[in-house]
Amino acid sequence: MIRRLIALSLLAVGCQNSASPVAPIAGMATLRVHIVAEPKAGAPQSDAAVSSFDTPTARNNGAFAKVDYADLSQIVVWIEPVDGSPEKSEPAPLELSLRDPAPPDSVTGVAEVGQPIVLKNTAASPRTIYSVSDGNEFNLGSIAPGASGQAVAKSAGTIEVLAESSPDPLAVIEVAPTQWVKMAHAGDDVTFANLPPGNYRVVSWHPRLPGSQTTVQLAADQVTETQIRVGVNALPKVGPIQTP
Amino acid sequence: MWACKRSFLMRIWTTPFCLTLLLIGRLASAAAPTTQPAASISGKISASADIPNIEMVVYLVPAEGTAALPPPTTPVKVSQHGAKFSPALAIITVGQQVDFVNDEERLIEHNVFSNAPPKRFDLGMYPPGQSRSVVFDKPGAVLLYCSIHRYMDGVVFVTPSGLFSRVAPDGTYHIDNVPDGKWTLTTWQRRKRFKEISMPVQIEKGKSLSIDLELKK
Repeated sequence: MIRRLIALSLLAVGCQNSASPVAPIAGMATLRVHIVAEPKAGAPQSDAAVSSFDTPTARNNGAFAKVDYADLSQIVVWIEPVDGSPEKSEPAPLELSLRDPAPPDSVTGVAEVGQPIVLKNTAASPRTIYSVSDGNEFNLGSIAPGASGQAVAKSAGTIEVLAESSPDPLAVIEVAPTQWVKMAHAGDDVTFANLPPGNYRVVSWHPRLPGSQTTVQLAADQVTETQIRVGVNALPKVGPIQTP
Repeated sequence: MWACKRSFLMRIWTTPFCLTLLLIGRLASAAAPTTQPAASISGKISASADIPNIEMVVYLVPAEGTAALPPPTTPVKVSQHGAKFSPALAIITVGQQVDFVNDEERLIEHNVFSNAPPKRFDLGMYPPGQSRSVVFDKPGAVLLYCSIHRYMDGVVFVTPSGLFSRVAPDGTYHIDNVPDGKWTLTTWQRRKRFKEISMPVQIEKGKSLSIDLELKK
């Protein structure tokens, strides 16, 4: 029991990058997830005709810019027990500053279901902050410059934080159904420490590319390694080739 | 006066969704002819906040017992010229085919994929001069991407009935040839900025309806 209480108290810090390890607790498990982002098989590795169009303003002018799988960020990874839910500690609020619209296809932060989200208006004028994302609707009303409002992540999925007069969301929050959630970069190793032993589902998600999932079995006092992929290769192939 | 006729001519079920909308129904201006015409549903959409350039579709979902139209046999073509899906928003009917055409003038391969629940697919890489086809068999929004060009995105919105209207820049919409029966009038925003509206309507004896909607946060 004492061991469990200690473990629960460390859950909030138990999800971490491998660069800053947390002291393992006896009887608990550790999972290290390697993130693999890969282009579709057969995709050209270099294409001068296309890469010459790579510009920072590509989205606006419609020019080309290639997906750089080696530098892919915004990958969300979470794990969840396959059988039942473990006891949870009270999650600390996720605090975000809202000023400019979030870049397209970006994730501003990650949260777990039930986690408070504190949204601070750092713009120079009052803003009405709201969300109409399915399952996570809220309306914080007008928030003065420098002031904050608080919402709660109610269900798993994506929350787009909106403001009146802004056509693009100010923040995009990916809500996972578990307290073990992390943002990662292609090639990263993400470590989840001090986990109750058992079977876990490992899930990857990306705002644009398909993620995947796998299952791992974690044993007490052991470090288990696995990898998870982001890319289009798992999608069903459809459509005969035609000549228009 | 038209407001008094509204309740007689339109049967609108009370649902929680109705709390989000401002409904103004009125008789179509044309008098009813002797033969039953094809009805239309039209109106204007306004919003409680000034959000510019909302790409939006209004469409009808058939209620139980109301038959939807068969899908058109002509495929919809989506170009990939200039690494842009065009049209960027293609609105089709369940069962309809979309041809994705690589019509680049230079030797540039494209890929089309979607991870959307209504249709997960990957067309692979293919060069200019080729086209690949997908039949969309479930309603909903299917977001399109290219696996190698990061700013290529589009959407195929698959309607369940074939009765739809893309909302014009001035907020107006118009759905023609609506058969008699019970329907659910529904909105969809490509980038959702307001709660969607979903409300029952009924077409009787070919009488057209005018329904204005207000989107709210």
